Amino acid sequence: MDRTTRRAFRTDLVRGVAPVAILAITGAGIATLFNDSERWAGRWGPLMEYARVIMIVLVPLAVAAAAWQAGRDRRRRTDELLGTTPRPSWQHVALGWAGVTLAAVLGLVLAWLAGVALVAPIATYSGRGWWWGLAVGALALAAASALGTAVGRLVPGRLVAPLAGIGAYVLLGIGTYSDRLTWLTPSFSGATDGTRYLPGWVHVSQALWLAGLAAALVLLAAARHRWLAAIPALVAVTAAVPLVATDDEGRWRVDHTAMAPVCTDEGGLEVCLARVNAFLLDAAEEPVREQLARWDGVDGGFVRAVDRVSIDDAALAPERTAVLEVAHLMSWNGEWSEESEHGERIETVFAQAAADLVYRNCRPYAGDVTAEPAHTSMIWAAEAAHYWTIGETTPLGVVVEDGETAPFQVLLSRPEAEQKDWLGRYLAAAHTCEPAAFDALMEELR
Amino acid sequence: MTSVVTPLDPRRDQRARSFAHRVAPAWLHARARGIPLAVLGIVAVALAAWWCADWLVHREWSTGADSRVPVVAGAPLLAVVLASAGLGGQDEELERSTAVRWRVRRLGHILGMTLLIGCALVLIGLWEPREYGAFELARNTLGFVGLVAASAPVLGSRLAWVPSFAYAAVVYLAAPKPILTEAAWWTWPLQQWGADLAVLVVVALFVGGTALYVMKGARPARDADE
Repeated sequence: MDRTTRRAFRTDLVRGVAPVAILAITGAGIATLFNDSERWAGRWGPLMEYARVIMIVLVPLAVAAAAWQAGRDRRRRTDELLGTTPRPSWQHVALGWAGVTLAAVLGLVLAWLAGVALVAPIATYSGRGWWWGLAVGALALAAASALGTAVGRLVPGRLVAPLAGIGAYVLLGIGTYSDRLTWLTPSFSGATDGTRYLPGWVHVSQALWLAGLAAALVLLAAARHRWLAAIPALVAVTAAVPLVATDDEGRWRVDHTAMAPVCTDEGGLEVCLARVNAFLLDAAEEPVREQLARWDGVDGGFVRAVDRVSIDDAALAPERTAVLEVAHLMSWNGEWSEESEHGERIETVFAQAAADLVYRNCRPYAGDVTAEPAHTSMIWAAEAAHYWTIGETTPLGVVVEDGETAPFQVLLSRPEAEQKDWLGRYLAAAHTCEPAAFDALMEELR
Repeated sequence: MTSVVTPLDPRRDQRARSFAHRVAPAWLHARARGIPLAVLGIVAVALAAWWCADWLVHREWSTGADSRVPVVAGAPLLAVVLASAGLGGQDEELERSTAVRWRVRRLGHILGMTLLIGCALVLIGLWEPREYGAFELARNTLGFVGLVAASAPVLGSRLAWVPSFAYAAVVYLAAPKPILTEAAWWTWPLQQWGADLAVLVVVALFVGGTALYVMKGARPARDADE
């Protein structure tokens, strides 16, 4: 890059739309990223995935900014004047595109760095290959900027910039609704729990698709011989084919290192969290043990608790193990939450584990939760165990008609030894799945 | 005996001239502000929104009326952005020097665009008007018109779309899910009709934005527009 080009680029950066784009993309990025920070705090992989989720906002902003920048010559009526200078017009267009791209990528990086503040100090797992996902995100912004540049340069009109931005938003929205086309958009529809990763070929294919698209659009907007755009377009299409043609199973892979349990077993009651969530272990240990202690004296009662994400299939969990959705108790900054914003507490998470034994082993809905369960007594027994675990006679959100007593209230009103005897038989029934056993349990609570 | 009105009848000539005197400048003004094209665009947005809403509700795994949230937020935004270009003239300073009651005309612009967009979108949302349908489309039209009207005096008509566009893009993703009525003061584009706070905020935006625009008009551009 010669001195004149550097000066022109610097002027474009300072006087063009770039400063506004940095502010808008950083601001929008931080606002959307931190809105759901409990989904990624403390975990590198989910942070990258959520940075890709918010692409649905950042890409349209980059498209609109680039379209506005590309329409500048027409607005200022300087295109003829610029045409009289010896500098080739493609350089002028390419510099404008590069300026907006730099601004957009800087906006993404700043938003991501803000997220790093909630990950780096506490993360217990370094993640796997997430940096490639972030690089693809940067390429996506380059492609978005190229799209805006092409539209702004080729289509006249006062409202080209917002229409291009809103159009990009709609296209991304439609793309994320489709199982296959979503892989052609840079936006993910959600973040994983940190135990999944994308193999290298997905990142490489997406990078080639987006880079090819960006190059084709810049050539279309700037080159004298527009047919040259066909070459990178061909690369883009070739890279897109495996992305669209592969099933979901071929994309996300299980990261067994992230799932590896990290345990503490002082006092005989074992608490295990997945390595990716292990930063919560110190804080979780005591409340989880208190819950385990409640099952002391229950025949077959829980003696250990494991993080749901640390096991492939909850049905394969060892005997007497409570499988907990620990992530439900993660606060916005990655700390252990006494009560989440959705009202989850360790009691409710444990209660779900107690009820899930029936749902998982006996499948009362046979996979269709909208259907009538085959044996309603299974559901009622699971519900009684659920509310026994919460331990409140009038839990929030439960309506019991005046003069009536819910089965779990009957259970809680009995002496402790009888309660534990009932729960022991509930756990046995949850293993045999005998409808008669559940009928008998519910008969006792009438 | 019946009277025959000839083409040279002075009363008819006067009426015709009076009609031409009133309508022709209004038509010229509308054309100068790009209103005919905006009207076509609004009709296209309404039809596209109709199709999208139908597709979203009837696709596999649809959650019902909730699926229409993107349409309820996006269609009024797009329609208002299309109409926003008409909030300012080609040369605001020159226009203001003419002997025209600009405040009345600005008020007419705002009420006209609100009515046009509102009617077009309400028509497509009449199946389930209170569940992400006509009521919400009308409310969001008012809200986005208010935002655009408040932005025009600050940023000019060419950039008046920026705050609404950025706001809608961020709110759509940043709003707590499920959508809480307690957050209605800032998530009003995504709220159901029952959220009174959303209606209050929108009415305040509309009244405030309209008042600001009627008083100040769009900020003149630094350079002549295309």
